[in-house]
Amino acid sequence: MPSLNGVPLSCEEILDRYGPLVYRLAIQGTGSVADGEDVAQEVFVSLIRCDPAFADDTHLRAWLIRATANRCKSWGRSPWRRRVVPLEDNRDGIAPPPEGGGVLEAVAALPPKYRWPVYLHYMEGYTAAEIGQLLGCSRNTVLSRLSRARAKLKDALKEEWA
Amino acid sequence: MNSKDYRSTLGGVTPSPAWRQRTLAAMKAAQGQKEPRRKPLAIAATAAVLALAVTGGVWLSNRTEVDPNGPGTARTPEPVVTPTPSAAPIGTDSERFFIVTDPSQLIGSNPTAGHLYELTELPVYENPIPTEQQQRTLLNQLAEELGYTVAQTQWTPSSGEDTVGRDPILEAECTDGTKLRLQGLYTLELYDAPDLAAVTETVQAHLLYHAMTPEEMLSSSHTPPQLAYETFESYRSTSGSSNVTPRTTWTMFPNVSDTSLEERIYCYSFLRMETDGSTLTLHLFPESTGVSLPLRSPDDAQAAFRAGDYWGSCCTTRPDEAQIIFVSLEYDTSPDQPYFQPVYRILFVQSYWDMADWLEPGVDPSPFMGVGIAYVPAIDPEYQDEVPYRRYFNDGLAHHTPEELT
Repeated sequence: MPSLNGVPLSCEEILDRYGPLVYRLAIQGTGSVADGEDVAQEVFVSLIRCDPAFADDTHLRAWLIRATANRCKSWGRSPWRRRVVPLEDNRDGIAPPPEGGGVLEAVAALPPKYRWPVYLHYMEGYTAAEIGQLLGCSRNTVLSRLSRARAKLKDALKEEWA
Repeated sequence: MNSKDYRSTLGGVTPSPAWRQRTLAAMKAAQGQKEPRRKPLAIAATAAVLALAVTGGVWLSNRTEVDPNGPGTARTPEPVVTPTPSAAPIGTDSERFFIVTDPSQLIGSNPTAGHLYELTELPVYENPIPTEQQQRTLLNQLAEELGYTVAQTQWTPSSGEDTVGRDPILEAECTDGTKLRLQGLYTLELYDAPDLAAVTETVQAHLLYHAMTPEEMLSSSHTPPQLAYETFESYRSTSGSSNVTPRTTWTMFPNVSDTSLEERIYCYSFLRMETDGSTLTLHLFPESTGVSLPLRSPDDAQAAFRAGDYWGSCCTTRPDEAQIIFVSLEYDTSPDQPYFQPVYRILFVQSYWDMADWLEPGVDPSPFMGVGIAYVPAIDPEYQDEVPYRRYFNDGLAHHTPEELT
């Protein structure tokens, strides 16, 4: 089992602590609840199979964010995945979309290079330098993308993004 | 205020109990299973068996079959460095083109044929300059996948951004004499192989392997994709001889015809292999996250070409008079560029290109014709400063500008 600071984590603990993070990230990354759920599930299964040992919570969260970002990327690219019909197409359990979906839609409509920094900064509270490390680009690039994202969101929402 | 709305709204998106239950079950089922490591040869062998079963052995049986009557070809990669399987156009600094007998070979199997106006955006992928260690790790992995043992290596560092030689080169000599040449992270050349036919077959399996997930490869119900073949013959007239010799390039890529156009272009451009019978070039797909950017229209690209603003080793002094015979869209995978991005590929002919001028006396010019290829970046010009396009030919930037025409 994956461990944190030398202490093994149970599947339940992992889902309780990091489920919302990966779930939201995957939905933002794929732009679809159905695809996001599949990606998020794959990330957690991969975590179990990889069986890594993390020194701290930051390290584990970074691993999950990178893994989710990579899977979102390959998900959109793999032509065969899209042909797979889920055996269980039960969407009854999906939480209803919350109010204020216009903001979510506006962010979801951003190109990925803008969407990821917006999510990681505004939702998860990462700094530009940290996002740069997570996404493999410089701090200045992140700042530039955040700035452009805000401009695009301002256009889309007809009000300042602040 | 919007960022607060965003946080509160997205914060309300939580995993459903049903998803949690399914994921928990999947995680528990995965306990004790090691993350499957990609062992291409082993899995590719499975793919080969599956393909054999499904196709009656079609693709295995055409091992290196270079199908002289094959289904046409392809784009024409251009030589930047040697060795390369690519053909080079003939001509002067003012008019350069390929001499062909069958221009349809240049149309090949590009998936955008008939669908050129359907796309409005495509991802652009970064091509970072790798470190020596990154190249060594990748080359060792590729050598293992292809069944080679590296005996000695030589590394040439990057010459810097915006230069020919931007991509560092790691060359390796294998124990059987085969040479491997990794340029950057996405172009691998093999030459001096004692049995190029065998390695061609292995690389075919490599392409199929990367076109499927491991689960699909091991599934008896999944039909592996077939490989599509393209052939391109360009001709040269030998000085003092009435012989005209063709240079032939064969290209292979997974045929994924039942998927989205975007994905077909991806496979067509990045999962491909080219060989001229002595050197084999394998393109590797980019690892970076693609960033979707809007495309300019095909009409806009043709207008740019006609105005003299285009790229490539072919050129003409009168683009406004050229007869455009085909336009397609593909990714430019040539080395030394900072981004892999879509380009419009414009095939053109000129009525004043008289083949008799370009062939030796005594050669019947009637079977031959000249065809030029012009490349125009497909990303909307408004975004091109974010993803600068580069293409090189003969140690220089292969950019033609309207100023050259004046």
